[in-house]
Amino acid sequence: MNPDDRIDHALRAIAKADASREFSAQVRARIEAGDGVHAAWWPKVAAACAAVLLVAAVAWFMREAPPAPSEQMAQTTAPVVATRSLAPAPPREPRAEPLPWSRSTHVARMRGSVARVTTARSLTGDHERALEPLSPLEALSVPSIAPDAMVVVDHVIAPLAPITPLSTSAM
Amino acid sequence: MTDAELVERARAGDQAAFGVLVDRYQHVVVRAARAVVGQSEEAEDVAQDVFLRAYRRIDGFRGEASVKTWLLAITWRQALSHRRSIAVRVRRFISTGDDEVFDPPATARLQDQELADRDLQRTVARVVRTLPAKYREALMLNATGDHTFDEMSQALGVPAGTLKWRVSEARRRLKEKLLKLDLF
Repeated sequence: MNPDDRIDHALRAIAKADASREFSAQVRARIEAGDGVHAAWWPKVAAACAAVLLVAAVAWFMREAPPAPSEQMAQTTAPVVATRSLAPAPPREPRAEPLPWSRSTHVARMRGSVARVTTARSLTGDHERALEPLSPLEALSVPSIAPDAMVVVDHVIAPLAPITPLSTSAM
Repeated sequence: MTDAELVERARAGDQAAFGVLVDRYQHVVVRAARAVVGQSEEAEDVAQDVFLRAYRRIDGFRGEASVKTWLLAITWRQALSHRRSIAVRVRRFISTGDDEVFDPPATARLQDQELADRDLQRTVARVVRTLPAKYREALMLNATGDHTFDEMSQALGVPAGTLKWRVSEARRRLKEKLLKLDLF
């Protein structure tokens, strides 16, 4: 017997399996009993329940999940934009009044002595000058400058009380 | 009594007449169901449902096809539905997959040649299980010898040429796999 015939023979033997002896009697009994097809109502119910659970689970996860960064930005910025567009503009702060005095400080070397010279000047052009002798240690940090020259080392604008002039004899 | 006469009597409520149809076509229906579901017990369950459906719907039988073809059409739909059902998938997933699917029927006393044939049948059954479903089903339904290709085409809604090609392709693949096992 060649391979094709042997395969055919085997296939027929497998496929030719008959129904069991009690098969016909079982069918007749079910028909007489008015039995319906027992095709399975419960798999359909189980499938429906599984579908409902799946939908519920998805809904739950969607509710618990944190929003994406882009959503967070949208949620954060949107109310601010709305507030800016709807809220009245804040009142501008009043400008500071002009200072009554300005003060400048110089270091001056005059006739071999070094002193800090503070000049207070009013808006009207009045000015007053105070001299403060530097200690020998402070005098060392002053750069070498020509006698009688003045070097601006600081400039401060602040409200000041008039400075009492020092006596030039103190230098 | 012809099939048409039995159908008419069954329509009139004669359950015994339908019982005769069951006796006449039980093997055909069980074999067709087995071509799809593979296992004998499941095939018999499907076949019982097929006859119950046929009895309930006997008024819808118009006689355009033979009773055998009508039953084959019901069997095919029922068997495919059964195979796709969740319960069957779970059961097959749990089982080892090696139990009596397409197993040849047992014989009482086996001689040497019969033992060899039975070994070959077991091997063929195992290889048939590995074929794609559409090839396997066409091959096994054709192997029953119960239906012509035209009857199968009418019942399954597949062109006869397509069915012939599927059977031929299934046989080619089956033979190729068996040759690799050095069985011939």
